[in-house]
Amino acid sequence: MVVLKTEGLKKYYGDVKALDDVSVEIEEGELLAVIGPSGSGKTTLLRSVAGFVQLDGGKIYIRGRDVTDLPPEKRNVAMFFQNYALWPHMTVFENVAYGLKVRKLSKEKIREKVEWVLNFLDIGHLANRKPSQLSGGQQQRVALARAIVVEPDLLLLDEPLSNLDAKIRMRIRFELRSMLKKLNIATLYVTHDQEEALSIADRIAVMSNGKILQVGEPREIYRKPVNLFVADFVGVNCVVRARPEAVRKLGIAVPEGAEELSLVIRAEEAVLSRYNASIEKTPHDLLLNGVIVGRLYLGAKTRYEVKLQELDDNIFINSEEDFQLNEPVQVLVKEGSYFLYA
Amino acid sequence: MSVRRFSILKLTLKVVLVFIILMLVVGPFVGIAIWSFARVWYWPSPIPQELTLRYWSEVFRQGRVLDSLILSLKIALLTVGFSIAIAIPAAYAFARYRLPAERILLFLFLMPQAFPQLPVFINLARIFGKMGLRGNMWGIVMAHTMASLVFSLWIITATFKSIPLELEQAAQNLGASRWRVFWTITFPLGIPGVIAGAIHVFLWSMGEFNAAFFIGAPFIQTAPVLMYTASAGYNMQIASVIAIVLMIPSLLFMFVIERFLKAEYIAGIGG
Amino acid sequence: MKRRRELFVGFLLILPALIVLGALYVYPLILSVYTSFTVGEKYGLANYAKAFDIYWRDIVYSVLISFVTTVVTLFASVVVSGYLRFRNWKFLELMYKLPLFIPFLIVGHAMRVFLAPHGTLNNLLTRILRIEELPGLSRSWIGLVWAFVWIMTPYATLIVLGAFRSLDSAYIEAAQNVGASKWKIIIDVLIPMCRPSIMVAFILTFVRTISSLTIPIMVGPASPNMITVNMMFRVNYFNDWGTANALGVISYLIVMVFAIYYLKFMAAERGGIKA
Repeated sequence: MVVLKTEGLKKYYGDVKALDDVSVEIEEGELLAVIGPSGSGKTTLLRSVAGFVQLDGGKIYIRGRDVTDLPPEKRNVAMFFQNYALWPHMTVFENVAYGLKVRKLSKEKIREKVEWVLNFLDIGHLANRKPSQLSGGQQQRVALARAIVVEPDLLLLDEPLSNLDAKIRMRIRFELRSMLKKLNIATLYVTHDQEEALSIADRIAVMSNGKILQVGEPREIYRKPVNLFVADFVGVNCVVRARPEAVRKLGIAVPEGAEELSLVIRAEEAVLSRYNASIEKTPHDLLLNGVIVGRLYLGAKTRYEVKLQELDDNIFINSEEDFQLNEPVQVLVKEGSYFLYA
Repeated sequence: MSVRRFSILKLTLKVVLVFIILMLVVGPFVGIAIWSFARVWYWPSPIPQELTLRYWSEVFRQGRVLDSLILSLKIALLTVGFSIAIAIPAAYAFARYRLPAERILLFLFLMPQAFPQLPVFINLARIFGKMGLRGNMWGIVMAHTMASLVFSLWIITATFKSIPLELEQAAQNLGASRWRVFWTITFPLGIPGVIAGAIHVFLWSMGEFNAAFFIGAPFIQTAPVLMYTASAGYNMQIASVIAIVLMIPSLLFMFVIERFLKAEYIAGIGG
Repeated sequence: MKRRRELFVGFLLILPALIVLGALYVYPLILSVYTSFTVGEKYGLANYAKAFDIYWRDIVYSVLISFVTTVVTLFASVVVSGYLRFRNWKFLELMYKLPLFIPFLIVGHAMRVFLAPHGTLNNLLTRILRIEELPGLSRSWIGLVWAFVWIMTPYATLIVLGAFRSLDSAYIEAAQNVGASKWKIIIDVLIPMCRPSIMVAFILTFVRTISSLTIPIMVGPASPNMITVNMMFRVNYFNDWGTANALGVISYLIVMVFAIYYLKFMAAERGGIKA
């Protein structure tokens, strides 16, 4: 069953189009991540589903019910705020119980549910603390508990991991995904971190300038980006501007009539090897010659700047092997790890 | 040697500076403090020839001093009640709502701080005179409510504005109506500012002279009006006793509310 | 539809305050302007002619006293603020705040006792300087300015020091780094960068001084006097509302330019945060 459906959402701030004809759908139990750079409109999308944005056009349906003109309090969607927005004058228990009190549940029922959710998130022992006495990770869990305890139709997560330390963030990703799967709750997840989206989402929508450019499963977004923007935004890449003749010489089919081409290379998948090393290569793989012009030691790997011979441009590739400055090298980019756009 | 001489010089300078500042700031109150105990005091004696507690006892005895203090207290408490009750919804609207003709409304509520208020009080006294509100406690309460509204409003508005919008949105998102959001989130978080506003209104009303004089006198006398009458009649003892009594809450509460106040919010008052 | 509703609810929330302000401020304000143009049953400028005729000296005097007060107050508050920006001195911090909430009338009475010919100040000074007699400052323009400066400096300092303190220390350290003295930093960095706040302090000090009644009736000289005292006399002794209101309107006109600057500045700052 479709939980969330938006049809042609429009929102303008003066000349800026924050939402430009945005339509998405989320199925029961599905986690849709919306990614894009800041200013792409992803947060506006989330906030308009929550009801905090007055739209200039379009419709929003939740479980088939038209909620476009409903105020935020009547939508039964629960939002997780980026800065948690925990109420400083209430304890953890009171924070989590708030939504249940509003729904006029009995005292025992509220106690039961709050205790369940706090234990589910491993924060049962913090029930009587004030938010100011909690660590960032604990606050994040309380905010999550407050959102899911009301059993909303839809969960809205606004950059839920962005306020955590990089190390904790990696661990929480897995926890968050398995927890949301266990609850089987439809979720709209906004993040600017494409890697986070790839690892956590069932489907991903890529936004730019208020438009959705592509929607698909993480693998599809990564392997079959529909345009230059999506290709470049997802993964770690180098974009090389090249003339059509140069590209044709490499044995790649070039679209007709293009004056200049953009070649997106997934740098994280490119392999650097010594010149004249024997390399297995299919006809659709790309083999480029180059010279090492810069190196940066990163610990496990070294980051090399390679000047490409055929394309007259520099790219950056990490490798575990040791190369010297000015050493001629070869770069192998497998089929599906490079994309060509006019 | 030279280092020590330098530091002694510095110390002396500092002592002199402290003395001058004390004389400038605290000095004026030494005089009225002594006067409040004086029975006979002739120049050039630095202290009164005869001391007495008679004038201080008037504060605690039935009579015009105690009456005026009680009247001022009544007026101040009523003013706090009305002023804060009216200011809270308006402050919330200024902090959170889009308003019709917002700029004009802002101007209107800032005007009493930007223009002299005395002509307004004089004409208000005239209007009240026609309505039979002159010499009436409620007339003074109304004038004080109006005049204190413009600063209690801005103190509370600033407090509401300082509460992050997300805290309200989070409650709304969980199903709470705006009314409920206000009473469970915004108001509890704004209480310190509301208290600061209330204290400030109280202190101002207790010491207010212009409105109390034109509207109340000569039929009823608040403490400041009585103080003025006493001082003008060279009854220095009574005037000084009232002055000191009125000063005490000002000094006590200053430390409570000082950190909530930006000068702009309390400006435009006085007399 | 939604927007209309929001405007309506917002308006309802403001309505009680608006009614109070309308009935008890705007109406008397309009009445004061109206009355100033009426003599008996006729309209005209007679009240203004009379006001200027009797009180032109006092009008000039009021402006001068207010101006001198404002200049001295700003100087004092910049000195105190400058000192406290660079050094923590709890004593000075306490001293400048002490007068903040003391009612004007009480200050007037205290100053009258303090500055009288045989008052506290002269009592002290005659002993230190070993002189028989010193003239009293109360009932003179110096005493009046003294009392005003005493009362206005805390407010002005609150504004100026607030601005000084909110200025990023990096600007000051950069100036110190190239060898500027503290005085030079105050004049070349702090004052120019905090100009809007200093302007607000200037305006508020001026407006509050020229509209004060209690300080001049307690410590001011009998003649010339501030126009607020004249207003009071016109009403209390002559029942002459026309001239009193003409003087009131004149006081509005004197502060008009400042008031408009202040309104514009503050309205920009007080706008809300809207969802």
